[in-house]
Amino acid sequence: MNKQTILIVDDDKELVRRLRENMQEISDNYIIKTVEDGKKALEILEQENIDMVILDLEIPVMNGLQVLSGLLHKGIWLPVFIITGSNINEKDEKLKDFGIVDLIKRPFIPEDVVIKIDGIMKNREKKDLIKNFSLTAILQLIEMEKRTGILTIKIDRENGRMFFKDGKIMDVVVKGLSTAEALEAFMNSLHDDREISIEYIDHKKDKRINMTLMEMVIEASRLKDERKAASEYVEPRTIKKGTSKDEYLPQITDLLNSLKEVQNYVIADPEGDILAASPGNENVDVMNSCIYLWVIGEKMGQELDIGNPRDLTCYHKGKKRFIQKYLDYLIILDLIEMSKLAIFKEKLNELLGKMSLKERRR
Amino acid sequence: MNQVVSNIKNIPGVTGVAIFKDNGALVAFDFPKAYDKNLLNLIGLKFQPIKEILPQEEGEIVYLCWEYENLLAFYYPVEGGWINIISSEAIPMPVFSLTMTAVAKKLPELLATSQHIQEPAGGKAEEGAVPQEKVEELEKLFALYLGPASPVIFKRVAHQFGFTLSNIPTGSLKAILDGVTAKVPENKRPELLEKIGSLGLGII
Repeated sequence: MNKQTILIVDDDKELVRRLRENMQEISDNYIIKTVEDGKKALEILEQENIDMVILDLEIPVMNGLQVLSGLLHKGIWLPVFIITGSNINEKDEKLKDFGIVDLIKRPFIPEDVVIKIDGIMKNREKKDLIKNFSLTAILQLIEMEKRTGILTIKIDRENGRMFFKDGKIMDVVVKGLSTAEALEAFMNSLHDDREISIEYIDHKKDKRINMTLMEMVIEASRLKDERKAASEYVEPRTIKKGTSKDEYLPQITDLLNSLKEVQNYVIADPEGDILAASPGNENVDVMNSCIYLWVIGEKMGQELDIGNPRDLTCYHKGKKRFIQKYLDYLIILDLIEMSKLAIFKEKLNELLGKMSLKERRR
Repeated sequence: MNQVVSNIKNIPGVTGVAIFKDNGALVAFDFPKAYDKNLLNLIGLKFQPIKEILPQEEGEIVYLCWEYENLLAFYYPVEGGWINIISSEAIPMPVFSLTMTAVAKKLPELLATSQHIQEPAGGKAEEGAVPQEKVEELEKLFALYLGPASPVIFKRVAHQFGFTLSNIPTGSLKAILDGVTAKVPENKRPELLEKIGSLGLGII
């Protein structure tokens, strides 16, 4: 059993002492915090992770009912155990609206309360955590069994809570997100493996989601498919034919094929469409990053006022890539041996130079 | 940090050194006076996305080297940041490699504790950049016409102009949008252009 924090809100110091001692005697797993007035209780509940509240309704500054109302208003959802001297009907269904799990009237024996609370907490521990089940399957069960409660999962660093009543989704809440954003975050999480906690506790919650659980599951599947398709999508790149400079391509490719230092090559136009490539590289998607690097070089040249780059060498671990622009062609080469880069560049530039001369003569 | 800059600057031929954190913050530099920290910060903005953009399967980058008419420009990534170096063509590569290997070992620790001397420009919109909410609206719009591939296409076209989606300058937006809309079937293009026009980007 994980450590659980219980907040006792009562100004009766003797009762609080006895509750604390008994709770700690019954189990080492309880961390007991105490506070005497309702206002401070609300502050603690807002700032700290409390698993349960034992709340006296007759407390100073802000009474217990005001605390319950504050919890509701702030969207803080946790089981509440009520202590009261008033004549409250414990069977009142409305009490469930506030997450009240039990109620005890004064006078009472503190040990009895501790046993009850220990029972509730152990029961929660058993029921709450669900692992190795998909959220989708759990939602289907909730709908089929028409359950009422709160489902909690971690969304980023926040607790995301889904409220359902009679199997119908009422609301989703994730701190810092609007209802629509929270709903989308939940849907994005539906297919992930996460620890899920469910509490079948009634809390008052107005209906804010006009979507059934099954509609939500279907929508989540659609979003998942879209995300997968987007991440896997590689825009098809085919060798473009019929461009005005096609006449140079055979000469450049002949040169590249003749250079023993060249392992693979790709020749592309400024839009990143592949015009020619060594066998097996016709559809490689290296163009995006290469174009980006080339453009960075051009921009740096402009800003530092040092002209345009002549070439770019990328030293990767296990790969040496050389990029050069000629006319409108971007030539990308993977070299076998970098030590001969200077000789290779000389050969390449000699040929490209001859082609430029021919172009100028025309 | 100054010692690291000085070590690099002492390599024969090196004329400028600038060290950036991964978030684009300039932490140290020694460049000729004509190049101030604002200019270097702008350059940092261009380099900031490199680590993110280069595909992992291409292998870890040791360094990149652009060759200009008389100068070389280096991008040398280290853990937690990167170094930009400008040098003459006559830089002795064995000395450079040796120095940079030593620097790459020492720098991550220094970067973790050093203060930046200029606010990071990288990852944030440059002054005059298209506001992020407008970029998001455009993304949503493109998704309607280009389907699930739209984020890839939008990014790719932005990269072709040397920008990421977070730093598209207003002046370059039209050219980038032209690139993206060219991928939309012709019969749908006028409708898309009309919708882009209604976003109030002030370009169409």
